[in-house]
Amino acid sequence: MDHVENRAVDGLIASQLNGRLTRRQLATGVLALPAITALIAACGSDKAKTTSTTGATTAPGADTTLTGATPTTVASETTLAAASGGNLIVAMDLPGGPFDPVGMYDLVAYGLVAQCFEFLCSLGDNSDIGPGLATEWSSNADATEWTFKLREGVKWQKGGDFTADDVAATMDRLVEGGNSGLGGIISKGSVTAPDPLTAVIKLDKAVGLFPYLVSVFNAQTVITPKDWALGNTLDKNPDGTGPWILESLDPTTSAKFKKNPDYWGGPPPLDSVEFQFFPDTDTQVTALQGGNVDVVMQFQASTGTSLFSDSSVDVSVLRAATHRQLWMRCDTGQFADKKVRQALALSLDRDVLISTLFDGKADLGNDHVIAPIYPYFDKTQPQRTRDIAKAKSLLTDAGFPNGLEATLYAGDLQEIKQLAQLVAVQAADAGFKLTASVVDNGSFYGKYWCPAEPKDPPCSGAAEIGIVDYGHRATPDVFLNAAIKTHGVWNSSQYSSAELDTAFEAFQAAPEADDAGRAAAAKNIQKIMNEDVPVCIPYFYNYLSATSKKVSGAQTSALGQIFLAKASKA
Amino acid sequence: MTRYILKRLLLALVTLWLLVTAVYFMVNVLPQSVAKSVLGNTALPEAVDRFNLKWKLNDPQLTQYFRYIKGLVHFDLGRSYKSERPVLNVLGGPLVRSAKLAIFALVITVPISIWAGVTAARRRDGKLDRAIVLTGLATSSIPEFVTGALLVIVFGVFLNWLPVISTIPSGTSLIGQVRYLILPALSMAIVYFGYIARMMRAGSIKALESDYARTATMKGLNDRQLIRRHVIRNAIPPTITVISVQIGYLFGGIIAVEKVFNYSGIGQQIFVAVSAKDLPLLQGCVLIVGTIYMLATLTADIIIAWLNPRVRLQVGSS
Amino acid sequence: MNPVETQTFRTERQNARRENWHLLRRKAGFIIGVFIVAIWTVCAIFGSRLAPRDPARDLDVKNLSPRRSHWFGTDIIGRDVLSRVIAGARNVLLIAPVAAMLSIIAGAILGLMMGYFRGVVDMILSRIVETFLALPVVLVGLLALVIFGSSRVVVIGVVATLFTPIVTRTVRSAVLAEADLDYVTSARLRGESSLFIMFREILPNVSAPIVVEFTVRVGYAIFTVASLSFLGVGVATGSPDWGSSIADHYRLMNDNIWWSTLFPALAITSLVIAVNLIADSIQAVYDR
Repeated sequence: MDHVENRAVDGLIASQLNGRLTRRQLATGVLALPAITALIAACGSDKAKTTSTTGATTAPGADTTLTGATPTTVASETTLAAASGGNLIVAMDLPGGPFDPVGMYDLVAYGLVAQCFEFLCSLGDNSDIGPGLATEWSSNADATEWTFKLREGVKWQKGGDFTADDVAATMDRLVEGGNSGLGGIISKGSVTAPDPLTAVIKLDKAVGLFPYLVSVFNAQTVITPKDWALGNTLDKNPDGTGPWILESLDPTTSAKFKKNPDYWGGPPPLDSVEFQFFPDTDTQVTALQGGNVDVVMQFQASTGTSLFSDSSVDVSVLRAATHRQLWMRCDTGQFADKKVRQALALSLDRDVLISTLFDGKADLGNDHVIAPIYPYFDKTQPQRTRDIAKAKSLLTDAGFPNGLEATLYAGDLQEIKQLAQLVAVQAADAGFKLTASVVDNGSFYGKYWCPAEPKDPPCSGAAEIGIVDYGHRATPDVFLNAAIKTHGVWNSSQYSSAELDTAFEAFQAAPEADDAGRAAAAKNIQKIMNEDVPVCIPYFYNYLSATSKKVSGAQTSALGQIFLAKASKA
Repeated sequence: MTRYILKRLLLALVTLWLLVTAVYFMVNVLPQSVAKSVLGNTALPEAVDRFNLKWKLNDPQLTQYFRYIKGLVHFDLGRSYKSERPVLNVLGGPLVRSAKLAIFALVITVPISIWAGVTAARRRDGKLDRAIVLTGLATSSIPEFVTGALLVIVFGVFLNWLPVISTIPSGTSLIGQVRYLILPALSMAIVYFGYIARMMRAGSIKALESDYARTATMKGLNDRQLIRRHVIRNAIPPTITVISVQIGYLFGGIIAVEKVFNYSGIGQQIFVAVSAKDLPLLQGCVLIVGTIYMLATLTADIIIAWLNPRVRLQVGSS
Repeated sequence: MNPVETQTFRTERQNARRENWHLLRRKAGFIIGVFIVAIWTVCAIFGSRLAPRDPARDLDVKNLSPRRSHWFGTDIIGRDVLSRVIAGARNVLLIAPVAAMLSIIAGAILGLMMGYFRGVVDMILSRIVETFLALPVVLVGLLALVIFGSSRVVVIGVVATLFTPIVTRTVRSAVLAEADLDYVTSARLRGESSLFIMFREILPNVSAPIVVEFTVRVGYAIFTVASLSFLGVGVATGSPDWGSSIADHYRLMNDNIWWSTLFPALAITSLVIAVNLIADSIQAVYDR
């Protein structure tokens, strides 16, 4: 894999996170995009530079590595005849920010904006990209210039034809507004239009899978009209090329859309769609069961148990790399000795955690970030299981024969409050007297996880021990780069190991085709992390969403977007 | 009378100003910068700068304060940091919904409580009286969210008669909405019942013991006439006074009830505004709650004056 | 008024007090109230030692319905609900009386000053009192949580601060009724200091409404503390506090898991009713 591109990709993920590490997003759990796997997997592949003409073809090389989100149960496609008309209701979290296509940063805004505005590259099959406003695309040999053929006969809702000028203006706005994915890749004026239905984008550097950066997986890249002003919002300037026309939007209750009869893809079967906002996911579950809504974008296993046995609901379970890191300071304090950290890891009963918190809907963690869904995951590594005797003897060896006392900090998010309490209870058997302190997320990140001061090295003001959430990533690069690597920006454990840094480098440097080399490096990372335990990772949990069986033809992404142009409701 | 009202209004404005100022400075001693709390802790410095510039947060504290007050004078509550919409627009819908809930609760509770209070007074120290007094005592002291939870268990879980949450599907008719509002309104009505019934009882006892009532009975006025002409008329003013003073307090209950039933009213907004540190929105909430309180006490005073000529005269001469 | 007269005054007061106590003891409401409060107080003091299981550390399967091994079932992570209800008495029984007491002390001092000095002092303080009365307790509680962080001390401070104006008003009107009476005038003529008059002369004579106010405030404080902890203010993570237990579990009622909400709710209910029975009885005796 090309190093420069890799960094660009990683930068994409990291900067996206930087830009929108908001409470809302964290609450939604999944931050990154399944298709990035495809992007990284295909990096450097010749085929990646060829044209994708039909929506059905997935990116070359993607099929084998598209493990970012593997559906184990998929909503039954269409057993019901697609009925026409009706109103579909989707339950979502409360919006957290403006509905500004360029400046938005929360998943609810992504979801709503994507109803009206469309991407050059839309969501295709198998969670990959497919043709959207662009019907096909290709690049020059070194992937520095990309040509997008635009769809004919696309009209703006407010009037006028969609042309390459709109694309050019949108890209300029994205540069001006500081898009996290396109920063350093395109500059102002990078788009030229040889004819109204062709947009040529000249990149500042080679990016092998540039289309992903102007797709649903970079949510802010929706194409807005030429005369759209930076800072305009969907609620005040409803427009778009999409299947739905905004009728009303009240950020405290709901957004309503009616169908666009002139949609280029044909008028949607449904008459209207409505997005209702809820302050918590548990209520959304109730609303779905009560028939008040038709879709719940994401819910938690522990409070949505009844959905699994509900015959009127399809639950989709996506295995993912979403996990929690129980970090322990390696540089100073009571956990500096790795025997103490191992003892804590040994005191946890992971099966109980998974059954209590997720009703079993999670994979076991083995204190390293190589999630079981990654193809290079080493299955042969022995799983760490609960061993109180061994934990006690390790603690005694480390000079804590009577155990130790510490405060375990965490932010109040999803199951973390219960996790913190369970960890405190389980670790007590080995002699750890942990006091769980779960505070609101804002204070948690600012005070206990990575306080702004002291700045150097990053996170050196972190608490001795705590629990932090990590969203799904299609590759473990960000986890390693930010949380585990020496002086990583989110390295709250202050772990610093030359051995691990070398292993990570080897992992990143492995060429795309070198599966064996990557697997060997990953195996090494697993071994080092499991031995040193800078962070204890008890589980990787599944992404859950639910749809009423009455609904068919709806497509969702992990970024809060749901595509309903072909959806219908019985 | 007009002068009296004007004077009261003026005093109310002073109180409101004190309220706004207190909240303004309370929020501004927050340890975290407004930009960071809105944009998230990991926001880029450029984004923070942009935010500060946009909302003119770099101006001195006092300048910002006076700008805000100036806006208020023109009925401009500013814009929410989060949604960037005018605060009045953001709060409009929730306010209407909360009002719907509160009014529904009052409609349920007022007639019953007045009846209960008067009945208890007439059967003073009888079994019915004790029953009413004890019920009122109990219901007014149990927090609304506890009552709400208990109601949900009985009517939502065990009997399965009513919805467990009160998110009303759009397009529900007004009659259909009632189904969703019954449980939250009932949780509040039960608390109000205690207050109103107890006050009515005390007022009625006083009225029944008054010379007027004795004379009236002796003159042969029947019970019903006595109650209607005299007792209720005399017992209501003190009840209104007490209730209006309690409004600020009772209001707190709405926040908890809306949380239990996931009802998107002003209480949910307060919760959102506080946790997001959305200052303009929070100020808006405080102002609205304060205004409601002021208006309620003022209206109460006017009603009392209208019901009782003696007060009216006193007011006129003062 | 000479010292001998003051003496008789005091004995009279003692007699009245004795008689009041005698009357109180015969009131069924009072006895029941005291009995319930006593039970909860014992729970608050001995907490986990009374509980059948460790309320924090003893884990079983989560969300078990009530059964022999767990009379009240288990909670969201498998702890014994009965044990947690018992241990949960501590938080509210610690905070509510302390907060009520602080508000009584502050309110009595302010009320005495306002009623005694009147004039400008009264006017300014009245305005401030009215401002405070307009504040919804929960809103201020939430704000305080954000600003000062979540702790018991903050909750006590908030509740005490918000109750003070109400107490102040009660005390003020009681003092106003007393301030013109002969004994105050004569004390002034004797040249006693204002402090002496306020606290040694007037205060004992307004003690009845203050005692009543205290018991009433304790009831309201329980109400408020429970509401605040339901909203997540001022309770430690995993605390068995009733309000926060309800907050942690009320959503589970959607899945018919009602026991983890019902029992803490009944606990709050019984305690507030008991406190109010006591307050009501005391008031009835004084009003006699």
